Amino acid sequence: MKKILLALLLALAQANAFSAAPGEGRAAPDFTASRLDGQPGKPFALKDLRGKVVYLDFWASWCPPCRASFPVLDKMYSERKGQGLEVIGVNKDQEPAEAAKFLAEYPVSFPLLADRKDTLVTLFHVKAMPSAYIIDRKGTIRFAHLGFNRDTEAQIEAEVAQLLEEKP
Amino acid sequence: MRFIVKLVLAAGLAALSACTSVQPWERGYLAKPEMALDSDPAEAKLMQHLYSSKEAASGGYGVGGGGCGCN
Amino acid sequence: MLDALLKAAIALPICTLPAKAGQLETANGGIKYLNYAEGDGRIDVNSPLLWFQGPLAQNYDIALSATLDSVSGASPQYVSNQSGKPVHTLSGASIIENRRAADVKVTRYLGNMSLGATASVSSEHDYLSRGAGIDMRFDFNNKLTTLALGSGVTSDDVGSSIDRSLHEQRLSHDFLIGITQIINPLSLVQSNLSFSEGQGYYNDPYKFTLFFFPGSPAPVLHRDIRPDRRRQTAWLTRYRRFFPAWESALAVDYRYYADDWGVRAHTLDFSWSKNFGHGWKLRPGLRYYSQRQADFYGTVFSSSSGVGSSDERLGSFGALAPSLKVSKELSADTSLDVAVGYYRQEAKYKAGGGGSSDLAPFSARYLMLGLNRQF
Repeated sequence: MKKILLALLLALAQANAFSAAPGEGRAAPDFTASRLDGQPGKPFALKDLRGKVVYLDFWASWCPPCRASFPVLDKMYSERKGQGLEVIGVNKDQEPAEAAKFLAEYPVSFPLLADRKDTLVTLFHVKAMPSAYIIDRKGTIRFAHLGFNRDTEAQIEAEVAQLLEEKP
Repeated sequence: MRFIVKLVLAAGLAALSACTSVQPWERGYLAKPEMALDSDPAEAKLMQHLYSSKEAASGGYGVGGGGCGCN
Repeated sequence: MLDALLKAAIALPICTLPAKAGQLETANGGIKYLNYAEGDGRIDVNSPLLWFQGPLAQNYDIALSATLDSVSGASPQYVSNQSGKPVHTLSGASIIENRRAADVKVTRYLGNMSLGATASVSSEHDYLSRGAGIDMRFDFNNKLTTLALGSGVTSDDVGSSIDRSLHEQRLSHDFLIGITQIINPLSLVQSNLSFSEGQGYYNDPYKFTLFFFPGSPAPVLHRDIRPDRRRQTAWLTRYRRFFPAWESALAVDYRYYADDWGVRAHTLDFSWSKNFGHGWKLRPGLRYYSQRQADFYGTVFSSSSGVGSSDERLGSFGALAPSLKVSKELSADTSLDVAVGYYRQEAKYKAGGGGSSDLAPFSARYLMLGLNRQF
């Protein structure tokens, strides 16, 4: 019985290795994507935002922490847009109607993208919902976040402020 | 009993390695309330109490629940 | 090692598991009202239940519920075979009994692990039950698999309003091990194995069997006497599958039950939950139950003092219970539901035949109303 428990703990310790934040320090892969249904604008290209700090967020309507994050992200976006912050939300709903329903409840002003073919999640090695990548003005992923709660909220604010200070 | 515990553990660990991976963003349907194992815990509690007052079987859902006289 | 594990497990609510796996984001509460009535008007039960669950602090959740059952009617106390066929005799006076029950559960989330502690109490004028339990859940394999371990203890005090001198006790311990596995983006399965071992007083102080030995003119009165020990095993497997094209979810639960009294039981529960849009949901369900009797079940005993019980619940029978539930989301945070169900127990419903011929068919119906609110 003891052996089994030990094996189990080892398995759990290994499982924990998954939660390491992916991508920090790497150059953000360039990508183009179409807008989420009903969203204005031409097809999106990440390289058009070079020189800005980009908060790239992967979200879905069914994910409760995403719900908690939206008002926070929208506030941060409207406050710091002038300083050079861009917030981009990549929707991962399987049913587009559910994303629309969610947005009616939690309206945001930042741009939203679709990722029907899982190109972006694969490119960014998304490991959890929500996942966020904070990209500096030079296009490097400086911070990555898995999940969202009150602690991450304060952390994100500080990290975004720090990156906005840096000159391109 | 010990054998059964081992069997369940073995089956579980086998399931770990054999199953196909479900990506984090593919769990929208699984997150629907009707897909929850206990989609209505209050209802489940009342129904289990009713059934256990009319039938001999009980158990399987949790531990440390209060019993009843049920006479 | 464990320390490193806990440190590595940063507390983040990452939603990669079905609802309720991680810490609650919002508080929920509601009321359920159950009315249950037996076919012949013998028993009528009204139970309101209040429940609440929500975040208590960072990484802590709390769940509470409280019920008040009010039972009116009379329980059969005597079983007699005088007429050749056993008949139940009601105790005569109509009774009104209340049962109060409450439970509380606190859960702590530690990254890929959670720890829960439960306490429960249930009290009737002649019965008091107290329970406590702890459980642990570990998420691993990228949160596709969850292992649950639990252990609990229940202590019961049994009294009797017809025998004021009766003060008996029962103590039971239970253990549970379970695995939940996400199979694919549309389905998941859970399998729980639970064991319970109890010691103490299991008799029903209100039950007597009046019987005639064949050829004997004088009746014999037999009290309900059961073994003072019971070991129970339940193996519950639950399957959920979503069908996007039909906006529907299928739920199938199967439980095998065995105890050392000789009871073997199968429970099979199906339900189909369909979303109709605009917040309407319909859930038809069908439950089938079948049990084999306890070794000491009977209506005629070889002596008046040996182990034996004529309690219908220990006989051989089957039961069918169709139900229908309708729910409606009134707004983003309020929903209402109504469920109706019918329950019929008959000896001939037993799987494979061989139901107790002395059991009278029994039926009941229930109505449940629920109001759920998110705060």
